[in-house]
Amino acid sequence: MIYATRIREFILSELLFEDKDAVLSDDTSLLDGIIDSLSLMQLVAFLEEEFGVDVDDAEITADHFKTVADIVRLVEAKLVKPAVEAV
Amino acid sequence: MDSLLHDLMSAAALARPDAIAVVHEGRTITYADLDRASNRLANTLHDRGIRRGDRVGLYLEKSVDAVIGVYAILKTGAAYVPLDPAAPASRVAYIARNCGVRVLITGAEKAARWSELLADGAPITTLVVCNTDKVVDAPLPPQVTVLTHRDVQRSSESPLGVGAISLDLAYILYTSGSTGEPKGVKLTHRNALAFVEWAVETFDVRSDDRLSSHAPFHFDLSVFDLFAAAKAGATLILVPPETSLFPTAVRRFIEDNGITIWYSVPSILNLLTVRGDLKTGALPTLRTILFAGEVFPTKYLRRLMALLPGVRFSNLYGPTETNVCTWYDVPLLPDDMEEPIPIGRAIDDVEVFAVTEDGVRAHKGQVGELYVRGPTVMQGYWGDADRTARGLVPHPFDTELTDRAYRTGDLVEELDDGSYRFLGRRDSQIKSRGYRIELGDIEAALYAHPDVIECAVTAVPDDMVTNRIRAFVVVRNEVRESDLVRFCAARVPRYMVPESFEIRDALPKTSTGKVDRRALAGAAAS
Repeated sequence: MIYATRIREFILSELLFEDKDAVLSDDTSLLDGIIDSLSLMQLVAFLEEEFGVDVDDAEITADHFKTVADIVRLVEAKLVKPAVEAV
Repeated sequence: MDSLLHDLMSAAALARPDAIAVVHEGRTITYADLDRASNRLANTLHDRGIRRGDRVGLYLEKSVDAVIGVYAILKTGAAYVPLDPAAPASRVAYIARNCGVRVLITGAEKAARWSELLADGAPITTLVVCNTDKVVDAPLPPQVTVLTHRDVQRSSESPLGVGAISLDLAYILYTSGSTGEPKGVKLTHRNALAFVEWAVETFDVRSDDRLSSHAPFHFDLSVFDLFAAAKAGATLILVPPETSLFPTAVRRFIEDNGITIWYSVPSILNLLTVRGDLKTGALPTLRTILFAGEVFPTKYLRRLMALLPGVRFSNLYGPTETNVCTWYDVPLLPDDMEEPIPIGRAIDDVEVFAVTEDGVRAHKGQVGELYVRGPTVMQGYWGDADRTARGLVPHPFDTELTDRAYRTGDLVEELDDGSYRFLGRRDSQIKSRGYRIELGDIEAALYAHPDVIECAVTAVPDDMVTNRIRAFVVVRNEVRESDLVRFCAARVPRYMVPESFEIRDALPKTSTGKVDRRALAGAAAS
């Protein structure tokens, strides 16, 4: 899934101290020292610019940002066209 | 009048034994239990040979157990040395070696780090894993004894009488050093109490107050959190690190816990203002917000004050070496005000003055370096007479006074009404997210890399976090940015790792051959 790849790349290259070749799985917790409050804001800004979505204050929570999979779900839900039901 | 920090807590235990002292994610402890538990741990430490004047490390996540640890160490007459649980092992080991930490109060969650610390030369012979009863399985050399909570439970509950006095060291806080090695700021019970007593009176901290504890224990903001709460017999509620990450979670934390007084660096308040989903009238229990550590951008401060109209906002200023030395209650700010608010006037029993480059007293409106004298001023840097002598100096004007003044290195100007405004630094110390960072500290880490020929680290001013960090490096052997990032991260705390690197063939020089930092700063800002 292309969203996951882009998000993972951003986290690895801009926020994390790892190579692009390093492994960040979809389920790795980002909250145990990988992102801090500042890099979280950078990540939100990236999502808004890269995918053209608006992230509400109320959506910036552990539920939506704990793992790459959570972030992908958040973005996908926002990009789903009105005619299609989000699962 | 209490002369020792832990007496504040013991007095609260006597007066209000069942009052809740500390809350952390659902776990609570009363003052009576905190007093008893810290007695037991103090006796454990004493049985392991800890005596007045020793240094005991605190190396665990902030928790009820960490608070018990603080008081236990104080009760033995030793100084507590709080070690950043998130710092690289090499840095923690350096600190342990520097001030001779042989006993570490730690937590099971740090088990993976112990052998690394020992391998890096930390002179540790006892680990007290205070948050578990289970025997911990970790590869450790034979000279290291590991005790758990079960061992601590067997110790006596009787108070230790060690004969400590208020001039004894209570804690050592390590700060970024310009040549790559952190400096240990030595602080006594009396240093802390002078500040705590002023703070409790000025902000009217009472037994029904609920204080947040946002700052880690290795930052001096925690001295207010821990000991102002104890003096008032108030409740201290520890902010879980995960909560800190999410501005709306911070808002909910304050609401759900009925926080009345919040003290932190401005960075987290900026984020709360901009992304915390605050509506006017939010946070109804909050009556006071104290902030320190960096400049609070006026536009965000004004916005937060408008959202929280009933709250008293106060700017507290002072380096680790003096704790808070000046303060400023923020009035309603004009809509068009852009310049930063003042740092205000000296706290009770502290004197501040500005000295020009020529060594004379600055007059109003003239730039000078801020000097501080008073009972909150540190005793010096551990094991570093040279640095101490450079920072703690004889009174520049009154040769009959024998106390030493601390040169802050901060440039200030005295305003018409006698308060002070912060203008900048004399040197290359910067603030980023409230953290104090010597750019030289980061450069030293980079120079340790065998392929770094030359480097210069600059600060790029930032709206949210005061400064971001950018490094310019000249390298050999095709070293990549990611290599340098990883190399740095193994030596300095994460917040000191440059956010961006620029690899150059050469660094611009001034006419005297030094790196032209201004040119680089100009390049960094663009």
